[in-house]
Amino acid sequence: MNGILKYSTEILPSLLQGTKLTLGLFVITLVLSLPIGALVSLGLRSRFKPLQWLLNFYVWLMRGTPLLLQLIFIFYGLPVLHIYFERFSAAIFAFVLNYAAYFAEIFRGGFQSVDKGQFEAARVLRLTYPQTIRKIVLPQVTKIVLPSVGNEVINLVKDSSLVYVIGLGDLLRAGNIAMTRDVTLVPLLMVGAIYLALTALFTFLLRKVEQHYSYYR
Amino acid sequence: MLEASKINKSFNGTQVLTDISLEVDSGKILCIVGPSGAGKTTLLRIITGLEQADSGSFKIDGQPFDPDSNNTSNALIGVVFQDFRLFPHLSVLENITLAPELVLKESRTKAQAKAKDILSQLDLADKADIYPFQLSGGQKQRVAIARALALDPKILCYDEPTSALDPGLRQSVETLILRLKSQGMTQIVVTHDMTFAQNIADKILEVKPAQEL
Ligand SMILES: Nc1ncnc2c1ncn2[C@@H]1O[C@H](COP(=O)(O)OP(=O)(O)OP(=O)(O)O)[C@@H](O)[C@H]1O
Ligand SMILES: [Mg+2]
Repeated sequence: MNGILKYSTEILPSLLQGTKLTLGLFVITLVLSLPIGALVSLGLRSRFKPLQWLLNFYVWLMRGTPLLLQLIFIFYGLPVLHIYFERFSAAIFAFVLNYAAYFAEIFRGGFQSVDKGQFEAARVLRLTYPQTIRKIVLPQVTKIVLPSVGNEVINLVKDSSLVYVIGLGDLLRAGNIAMTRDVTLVPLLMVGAIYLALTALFTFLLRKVEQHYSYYR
Repeated sequence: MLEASKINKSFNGTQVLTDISLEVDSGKILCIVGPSGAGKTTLLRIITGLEQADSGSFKIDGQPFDPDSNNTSNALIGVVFQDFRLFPHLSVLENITLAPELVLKESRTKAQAKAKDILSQLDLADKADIYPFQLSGGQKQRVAIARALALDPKILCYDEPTSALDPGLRQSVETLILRLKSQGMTQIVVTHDMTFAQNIADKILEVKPAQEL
């Protein structure tokens, strides 16, 4: 038992190092893909048809193919066309593209479920379109989409482990290295525990945000 | 004074309004009545700029006026919707101050003072800080009226102000509309309730269902 404890503390720093990369990827992906997703969903509602087609195609492509394939395509595939990404940038690029598409789809549903009467009420009060979106629509959409966005946030924590395939030193890789080197299950169990702790933390935070929006119905 | 002349409107080849003309003098109440499907709501939506007439013209105080481009800070016509359409995420006070702040660029202090004043005139002084879902139907309607009044409109329009309320509340809507009239507000009220119309109207316009083309 003491041995396991000692071993755990020995490998913990490398696991935490991996966690740092996982969290970095997580935060950067969220910060970029949420606003991009919101913009794309506005574009999906645009009256300018070519833009609508283009964005629909993008969403269809991203949601219809595995993120793993997209990741491999960007890091290993694009160099064939002489487009080179550094590992972490490739990961960010793939994740943002993919998650923005999912968020766009969620926001599109959210926008649709805001009553058309709200737009008309804003219109007769002479609010401009940007004012209507900012003050009337977005706050309501936020409340509507929070549960679905929350699911994606939790998925993202776990999906981040896919960067393993392009050789990034994330949490999963850190655990796997220790396991193959020391022939023990302990690192993998610790990796699982860290993922659980992260998802529990984000679930808790999301619930707080949902509570914040529960002041109205 | 608002004048509309020869308003026509069709939807997908079906004529709904044919050569409708109307006139409301300042400070008076015009009731628009007619059976269901006659086009009362459509007419009101055209007057308030939510729908575009196929042809016809408008004048306010003798000046030509396009309800559709009414999207300026010059708020002429206010609307109280049948289903009120309050903003659910904003408190009663915020519902009322939103447009004065954003559109008339009033300071928050000024907008709030004015809103509170309107609220107390409508017996809603104690409701300022709660949210629309916490209000009764009649209270929601009065908040919707307060929200429209806060933009200082020249004309206030209502679509079926009695239809979403308990029958017992009809009387208090009448009282409120007549009180606004006594304060000089010009009002246009769409209703299918003839008694209600007769009780409040200075003039009644009957919209008849049109034949299909
Ligand atoms: N956006 C629209 N597209 C197509 N048809 C419409 C539209 N709006 C209204 N109509 C049609 O126009 C006609 C008049 O509708 P409107 O809502 O103005 O009637 P109304 O007099 O207000 O009736 P009610 O008393 O039931 O409210 C109806 O036949 C309706 O189906
Ligand atoms: Mg109607």
